[in-house]
Amino acid sequence: MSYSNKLSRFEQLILPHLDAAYNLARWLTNHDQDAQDVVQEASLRAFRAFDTFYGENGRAWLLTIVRNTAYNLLQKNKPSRLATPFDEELHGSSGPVESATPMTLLRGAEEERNLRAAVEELPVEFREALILRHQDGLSYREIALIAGVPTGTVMSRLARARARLKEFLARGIREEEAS
Amino acid sequence: MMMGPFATETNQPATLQFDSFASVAISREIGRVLSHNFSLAASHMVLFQQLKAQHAVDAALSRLLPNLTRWLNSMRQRTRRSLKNFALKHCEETRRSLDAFLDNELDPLKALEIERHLQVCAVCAQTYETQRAAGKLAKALPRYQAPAVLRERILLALRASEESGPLPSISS
Ligand SMILES: [Zn+2]
Repeated sequence: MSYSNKLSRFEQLILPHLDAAYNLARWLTNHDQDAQDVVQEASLRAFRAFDTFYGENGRAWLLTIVRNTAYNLLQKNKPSRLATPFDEELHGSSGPVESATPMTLLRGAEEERNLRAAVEELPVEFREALILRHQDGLSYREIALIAGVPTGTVMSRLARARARLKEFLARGIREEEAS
Repeated sequence: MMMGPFATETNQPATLQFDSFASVAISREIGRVLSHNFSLAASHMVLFQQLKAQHAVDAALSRLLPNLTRWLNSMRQRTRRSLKNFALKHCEETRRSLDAFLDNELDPLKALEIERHLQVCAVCAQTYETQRAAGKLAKALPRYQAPAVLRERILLALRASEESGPLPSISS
């Protein structure tokens, strides 16, 4: 494959997923500039490895590389943050939680900020599962392939991430009742 | 002259007459009384037998009833327990599969089972609503768009690498 041929194929198959790549990198790093660096580096890596890509799923392929690049960056920059295991005691256990609709809680910009902050506090593996599942609509199997873990691990990470969101909902209800 | 059993001026034939007459009357009377007594006795006997039978039935029932009640209660309890266990088992299974159900990761048959349980179990239905709300919340998270300059920078870097030969390996 000639260079220009390879480049145009790359532009056609991989670059359309740049938004998904940036979104994932942004959620994994919690930082705009870091996310841009990650996506740029991941794109160059992807291009170098493009000969090994057989065109089955460009988005999943790019997201895998973005994910690994982001983890490398996190390990380099914030080793303590990545290594900190999720402290169940600190973050509260998943007790009984009142139900609510997101609509009643995401009324204002402030609530949205609070929600984003709650997710950003989650361990990176949980954020990753949450974003890949709910924003990219990937299946357990696809997420497992990207994260390099068994599907059971994906399920438990998702469950715990969503338990945090349920706590967020419950907190919203309590505040609403208090006011 | 008086005739009949109590006539005073009696002679043989009169006595004979009286005797035969009286004996017939007496024996008739005796028979009447006896038969009356017999039938009375007989009917008393029947009544007595009936009462006795009734008593026996009552006694048997009063002996049996507490046992019967106990048995009925235990059956009722056992049924309630097994129904509860059945429901609990279903609830447990439902809770365990709720995430996969929400994520469309269940096979259709299993999904149908969960759906049916949610229709009849208010507790699980409540849990389901909460889970679903959490999922919706995750979906409502902001979706970041790549800045336009990023795409340009990437394309520039890729084209630059064409001119400068193979890309330098990026340390990881
Ligand atoms: Zn149930």
